[in-house]
Amino acid sequence: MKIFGKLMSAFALSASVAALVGIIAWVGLYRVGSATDEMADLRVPATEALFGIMETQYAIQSGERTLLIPSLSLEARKKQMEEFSILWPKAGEFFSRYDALEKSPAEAELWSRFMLSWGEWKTEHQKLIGVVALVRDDNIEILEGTLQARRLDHVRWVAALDRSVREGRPFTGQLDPTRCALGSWLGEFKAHNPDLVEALEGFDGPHKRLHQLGGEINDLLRKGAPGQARRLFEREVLPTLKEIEGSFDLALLIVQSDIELMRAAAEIAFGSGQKALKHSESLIDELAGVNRTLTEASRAQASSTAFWSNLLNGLAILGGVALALLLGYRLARKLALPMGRVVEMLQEMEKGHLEGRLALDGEDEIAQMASAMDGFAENLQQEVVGTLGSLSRGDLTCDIQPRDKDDEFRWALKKVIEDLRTLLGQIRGISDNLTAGSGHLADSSQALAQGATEQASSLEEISASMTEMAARIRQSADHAGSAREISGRARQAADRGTDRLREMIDAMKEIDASGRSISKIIKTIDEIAFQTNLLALNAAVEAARAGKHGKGFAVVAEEVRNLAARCTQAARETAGIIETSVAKAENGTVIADRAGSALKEITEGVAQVTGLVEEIAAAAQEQAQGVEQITAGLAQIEKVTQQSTASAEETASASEQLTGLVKQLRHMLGRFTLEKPSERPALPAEPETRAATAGWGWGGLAPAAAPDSLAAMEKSLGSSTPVIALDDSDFGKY
Amino acid sequence: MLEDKSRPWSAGDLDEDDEEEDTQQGRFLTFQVGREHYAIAISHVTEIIRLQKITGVPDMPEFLRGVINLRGRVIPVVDVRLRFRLPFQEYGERTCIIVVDVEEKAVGLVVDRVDEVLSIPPDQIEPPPPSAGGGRYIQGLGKVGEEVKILLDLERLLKREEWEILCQATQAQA
Repeated sequence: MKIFGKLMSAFALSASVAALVGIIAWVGLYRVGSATDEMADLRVPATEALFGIMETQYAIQSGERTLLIPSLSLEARKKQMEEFSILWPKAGEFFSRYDALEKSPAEAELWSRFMLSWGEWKTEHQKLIGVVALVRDDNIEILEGTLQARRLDHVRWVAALDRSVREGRPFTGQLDPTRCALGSWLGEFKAHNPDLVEALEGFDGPHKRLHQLGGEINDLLRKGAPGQARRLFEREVLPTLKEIEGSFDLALLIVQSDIELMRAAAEIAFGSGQKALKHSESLIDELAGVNRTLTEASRAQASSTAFWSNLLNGLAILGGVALALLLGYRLARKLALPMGRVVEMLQEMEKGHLEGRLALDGEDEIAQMASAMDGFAENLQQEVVGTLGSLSRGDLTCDIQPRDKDDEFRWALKKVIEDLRTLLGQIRGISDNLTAGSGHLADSSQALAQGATEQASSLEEISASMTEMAARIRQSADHAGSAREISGRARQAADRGTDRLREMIDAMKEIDASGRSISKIIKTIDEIAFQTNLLALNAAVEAARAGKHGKGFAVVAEEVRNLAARCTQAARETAGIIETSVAKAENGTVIADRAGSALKEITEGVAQVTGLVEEIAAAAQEQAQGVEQITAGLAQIEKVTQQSTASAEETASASEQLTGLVKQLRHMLGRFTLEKPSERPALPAEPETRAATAGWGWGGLAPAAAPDSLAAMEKSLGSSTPVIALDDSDFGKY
Repeated sequence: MLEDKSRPWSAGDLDEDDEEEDTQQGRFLTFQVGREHYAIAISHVTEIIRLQKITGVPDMPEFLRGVINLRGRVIPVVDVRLRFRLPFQEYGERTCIIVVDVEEKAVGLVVDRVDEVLSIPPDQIEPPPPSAGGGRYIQGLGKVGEEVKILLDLERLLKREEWEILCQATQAQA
């Protein structure tokens, strides 16, 4: 038996045990559920409906009792009637609910009886309602009493009147028809029954007439006419009283008919109605009892079913568990032992020990696996290890034959050997090219070294020029500094000039002021001279008057006049001079102002010059810094050039070393046997000639093994060849 | 000037007997009105004063500027420029009033400026030009050096009717 069969039969057994357990549980649960369903779907609603019916029945009964209260108002009665119209449909609803439920025959029979009884009760109820509906007034009990009392009042009133007439004294009773007891009651009372209203209206005329008559009789009595009063009493009062009593009788009749109706209704309610109700109540109790019994039966059935189901389930679970454990143990044991041996052998193989073999008997999958593993180990030991051994000896000529196209292992081994063969062939080709390339490299690096040396000498010249330039810039910066100093001095001088000019203008103003005061003084002198002149003239006139005696005086006067004239002349000349001097001073002020503005312009110009010179100085400073940076940069370039010279020399020596290494490589490659002697082509025979024909690029690299990829590689590298292939003249250019 | 100065002396020396007449005869006070130089006989001149405040008198000829108070005496003032029908000119520093005595009445003459007191010999005086506009109050033309002084006749200058007015004015003032 195979492993599949063993496992399947064991699991089938376990599943059948589980299924048994499940079925037992399901059946038990189903039965319990159906019992519960009956209770929930049938018994609970039936009970609810019965209770609803009972409740409505009691509500209707209490309503009937309410209607029978005689002092109830008409409105309250109406309201109660309306309530019935709600209660009956409610009862009908419960009825239909119960009617729709499933019933046992006994229950159905009971239910039909109850329906009959309920119908009878309903008829009685309708009868009662019909009677009560005929009652048309409020509070009929009191109404009757009132009417009786009012009637008696009037009989008494008439009796009192009669007594007054008989005794011949004035009547003291109520004469106003609206104020007597009947009058005020009629004013307040409002009847609903139209018959009663009509009857009460019948009171109105006779009642008024009666009281009026009372007044008339009273008048007659006061007049002292008792005979007339008696006649009036007998002729008018008594008939009117009769009329009133007739009206009272009519009203009382109407009211008493209502009372009669109420009595009839009460008879129905407490007689036939009560009987029918009791009957239907006893039937409902019976129905409720039936329902209770049925519910009890369902519950008992459910609990017994549940007990038996639980017991069976428990037994089935115990048996199932024991069986499953036993089968599981046996099966596991049978599978685990051979698998353990297979694992052991695989672990050995993982360590590289290929000698172990399983050699298991049996016809199941484990035995087949063991024999396959034995074959695999045999093949691995023979073919793979042997081939790897010859590879390790450098012999690449061995050939592997794969079993079929999916034999990945042997295909991979075959590809490894072929790839190794191709790779070594390529390495050999590359080593040939390297030999040629290293020669070129040596030439180029020598040329590079030469160029670097020339560059170094050029750099020395440049740095000498830069040093000279730096000196010149420093000199110009110094010059700019001294120019700034000189312009500063010029500015100070101009400022001083401005100050002097200001002083000069002040001085001129003072001159002007003095000139003006001198002018004033001269004017005073002139005035004095004029007055003196006048005095002299007057003196001359007086002297002329004095005649001979005044002659000497006249001479003196003339002298004084002359002096005054000279004084005036002198004053006039002085004034002229002063005016000229003032004018000149003003002119001087104008000139000084112009000189001041000129000096200001000079100052501004000097300030601008100073600014420019400062800028020049700053620029020279910056230039000096720039030159220093350039010098530093040149020094670095020089250093780099020296380094590159050294590097070029190193490159030359390295290329020589490379040539040596390539030779070594070729020697090492010689130990591999790539093809069988008869197939060997002329691949690495003359590398120098191949390199010479293809330049020193990668053009010579075209082994036959992977022509496509190498062709692509050649193409991409070929495009870069012109950049690399610089000759000496080109190098010089750069 | 020396010559001018010496003349009175010589004149004085010549006419020593007739003191009063000699002293005043041929002696003139010269003044300026406009450009012209005028001269009046010194016998008429009382004194020369500076310009004073002139109180205007209403309803008078234009040349009669008004009256002044001369040391308590109220005297009428005549503007010679206006009297000569020349345009009016504002009074200046050199404007003076010559107080003259004509027919025992003091009158002030406003002139532009007063020059000097000098002697003009009779042989140097020429008669006035005939029938000139203002000829009736020109006494003659006196030659002094290169210049010509117009000699004024004060009695005629201040005509009879004007004189009356003046007198009335002063009397009214007094």
